[in-house]
Amino acid sequence: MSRPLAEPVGVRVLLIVVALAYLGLFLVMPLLAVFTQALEKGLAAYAAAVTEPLALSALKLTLLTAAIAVPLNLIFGLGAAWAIAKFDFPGKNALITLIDLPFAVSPVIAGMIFILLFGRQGYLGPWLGEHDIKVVFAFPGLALATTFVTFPFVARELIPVMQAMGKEEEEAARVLGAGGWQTFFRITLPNVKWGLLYGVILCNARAMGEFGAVSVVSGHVRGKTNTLPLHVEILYNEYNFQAAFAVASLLAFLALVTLVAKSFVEWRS
Amino acid sequence: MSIEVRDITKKFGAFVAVNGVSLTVPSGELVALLGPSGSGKTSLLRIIAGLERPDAGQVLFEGEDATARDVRHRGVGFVFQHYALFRHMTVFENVAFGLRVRPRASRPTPAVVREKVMSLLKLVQLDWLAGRLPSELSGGQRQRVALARALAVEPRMLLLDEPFGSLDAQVRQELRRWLRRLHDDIRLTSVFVTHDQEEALEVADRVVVMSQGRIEQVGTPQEIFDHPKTPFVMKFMGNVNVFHGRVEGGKALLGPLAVDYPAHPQAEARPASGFARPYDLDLARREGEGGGFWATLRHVNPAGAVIKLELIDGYDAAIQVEATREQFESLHPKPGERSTSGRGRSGSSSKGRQARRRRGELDAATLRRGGIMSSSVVTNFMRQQGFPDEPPDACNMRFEGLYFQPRIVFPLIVVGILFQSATLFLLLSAILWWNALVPSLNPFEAAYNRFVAAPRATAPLTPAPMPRRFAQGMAAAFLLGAALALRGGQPLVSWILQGFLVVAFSALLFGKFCLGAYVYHLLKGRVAFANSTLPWARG
Repeated sequence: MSRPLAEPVGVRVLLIVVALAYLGLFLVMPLLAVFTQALEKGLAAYAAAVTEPLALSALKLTLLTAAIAVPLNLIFGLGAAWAIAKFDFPGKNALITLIDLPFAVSPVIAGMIFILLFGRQGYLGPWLGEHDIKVVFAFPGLALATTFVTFPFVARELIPVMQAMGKEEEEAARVLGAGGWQTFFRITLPNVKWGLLYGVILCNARAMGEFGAVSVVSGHVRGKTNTLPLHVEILYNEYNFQAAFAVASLLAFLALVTLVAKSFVEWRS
Repeated sequence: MSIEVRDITKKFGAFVAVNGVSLTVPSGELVALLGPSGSGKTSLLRIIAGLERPDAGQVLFEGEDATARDVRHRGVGFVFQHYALFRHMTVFENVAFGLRVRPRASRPTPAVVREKVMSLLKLVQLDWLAGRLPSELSGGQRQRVALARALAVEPRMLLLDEPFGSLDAQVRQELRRWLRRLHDDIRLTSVFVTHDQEEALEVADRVVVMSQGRIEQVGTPQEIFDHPKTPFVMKFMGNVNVFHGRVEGGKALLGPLAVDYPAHPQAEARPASGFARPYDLDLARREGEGGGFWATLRHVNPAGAVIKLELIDGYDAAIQVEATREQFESLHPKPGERSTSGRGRSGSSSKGRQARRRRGELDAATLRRGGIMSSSVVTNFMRQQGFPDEPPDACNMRFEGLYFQPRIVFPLIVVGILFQSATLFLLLSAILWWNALVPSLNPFEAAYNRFVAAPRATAPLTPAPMPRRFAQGMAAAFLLGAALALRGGQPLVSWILQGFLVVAFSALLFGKFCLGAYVYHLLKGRVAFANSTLPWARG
C-alpha cells in the first residue's frame, strides 16, 4: 500500500524510534524509578511512610492549598480571558503581559516577593504584626504563593478558545433578548467548558506540585506549613530515601490522575 | 415598524465607517443596503440593531428615539452573515432560545414554546431537522434556522447581514426568492446588507447604494439601474465601459468617441467621463453617420444568451460589448479582426459637478469600413503581457534550486556541530561530576572500553572494526535507499545522496562520542568524587 503524501518508511520509523526513546529516557524511566524506590522495602514500609501523621498533614495541606488556589484562579482566569477575548480596551496588552508574569519569573522569586511584602521586615509586616495576622510562614502565605504561581493556567488556556469562538454567538443571544448572565451561562460557558476544564486540571497539577515559591514562604514547620513536595525534600535530606520516594509516589500518582483526566478532556473536546 | 437614522457617524480608530448617513425605511418595506466591502453598510445595520453605538446621530423607531436603547429591548430580529447558530444546541433549542430567556413573567410555557418553534420550523420547511445540531446542516438550512430563530422573538423588524453571502449560487437563488415570498407574506420591515447588485435588485423594494461610508443613491431597483445618479453607482451596478475626455462647446470628446452634448454649450472645456454598458454598444463592419470608433476584437466568449466580446480601441483600452446571437452571426467577426466599433445609447457625465446621464442622447456611431488584421496581433498581445512562447505546461517543470544552497546549508551544519559538541560537553561534565548513577550505565565508560581502548589493545594488524562497520553501514544505507527509490519512484541519485548523508552523519556522531569517551577517560582520575554531595556518588 503506497501513500503518496506520507514520508518514506525509513524516515517514519526513525522519527518514531527517536520520539519513543526520548520519552522513555526522560519520562518513563524516572517515573518507574520513583515507584521502584518507593516500594524497595516492601508494601508495609510504603504504607507506613504514607500514613505517617506528618505525611498525612502535608497531604491535607496540599489539597487545601489547591482547593483555595484553583477556584480563585478559575474565577479570575475566566474573568481575565473574557475581558481580553471579547473586548478592546486600553492596556489590554499590558494585562496579557501581566497574566504571563508568573510564568516569566522564577517561582523562588515569586516566593521572595511575598516575603518582601508580608514578611516581618516587609512593607506590610509591621501592620500585619500589629493586627496579629500571620501570612508568611503560615497557611495564608502558602495559599497566596500557590495562587500567584498558578495564575496563568486558566486564563492562558481560555483566551485562544474564547477568541476562536468569536463574538457572534453572544451578539445573537443578546439580540434575542438574553441578559449578560444568561448569555454567559447559556452560550459562553458551554462553548469553552472543555478548555476551561483543561486549564483547571493543569492549574491543579501545578498547585499541588509547586515547590519553589511555597518553599520560600512556608518556613518548613513540620505538620503545619509543610506541603507534600516540601515533605519529600525534608525526608530526602534526612537520608530517608524510601519514605521520600513513597511520598513522592503520591505526588506522581496525582500527576498520573491529572494526565488521565487531561487526556479524557482532550478526547472529549 | 418604520426605521429612521439621522446623521449617523461611526469611526473605528481613524477609519470612518459611516459618515453622516440619514435614511428612512417605511414600515413593511424590504430595503437592501448595497455596496462594496468597507462601504459601511454592515456598520449601519449593526447600529440600527444596537450592536454598535454610533459616535454621532440618532436612530428612531416609529419616530421614537432608540439610540440609547439596549439591543435586548429593540425588538430586532438579526440574521448574522455566518448564521451564528449556537453550536452546542439543537435546531429546536436554537429557535426556542429567544423564548426561554424571557423574563419569568412573560416566559411562555414549554408547551407554547414547543408549538411556536415547530410552527416556525415548518415555516422555514425544516421541522424534520429539529433534533439536529447546526454542524449537521447544510449552509442553506443553517441560514433558514437562523431566520426562524430571529423570527421566534416576534421582532418588529428584521435585519439581515449578507444573508446569502456564504451560499453557493444555486441555493442562493432559491433562498432569495423564498425570502421575497416570505416578506410578502409577513410584511415585516426588513433591511438586508449585500454586495451583490443582482441580489439587491431582485429582492428589495428599495435599494440604498453606499460607498465609503456615505449613501450614493436611494431608489427602487429600476431607478437605481436605469438612472444612476453618480459614476460610482453606474460602475457598481454592473459592467460598464468608461470613456474619459472633456466636454466643450456642446460636444463631448471622450477618447475615441465624439458625441453631441448640448447640456454644456460653453466654449470652456471641462473634464468629463462617458459611460456605456456593454449592451448599449452596437457593432458594425461599416462606417455609419459618425460618432463611432474603430476597435480590434480581442476575445469572444460565446457561452450564454448573449455573446460577450472584448475589443481594444485605438488607445489600447479594453471595451466590453454584448451582442445578441443574431447580431454576432451576421457580423461573424474573428479575434484579431479590426472590424468593429461602438455606437449607441451610451451616456456621458461631467466630472466635478453632479454627474448626469442622458440616455439616447449619443447619436448612432458607426464604422468606417471592415478590415482584417492578421491573427499575429493576439500572439503579440500575449508577448507583451509576458506570456512565454512555450506551452504553459513547460513552465511549471523548471526546477528551482531551492533545496540545496551551500550558502544556507553549510552554516547550518557548522551550527549543528557546535550545538552537538556543546551538549556532549555538558553531558560529559554532568557525568564526571555526578560520577554516573551506575558505572555500567555510564555511556562513556562503556564506549571507552569498547571502541577506544579495546581496538588498540587487541590485534593491531587486523583491520580495525570501525572502517569495516562504516563500509557495512554505507552499503546498508545504499541498499535501503535503492529499495525505497524503486518503490517510491524517487530518483535513485537522491536516495544514494541521502544514504551517504545519513551514514556520514552517524559516523560523525559516533566519532564525536568516542572522542567524548576518551576525554572522559583522561579526566576521570582528576575529579575528586569523594567530595560529591550526592549519597550514591560516595559509596
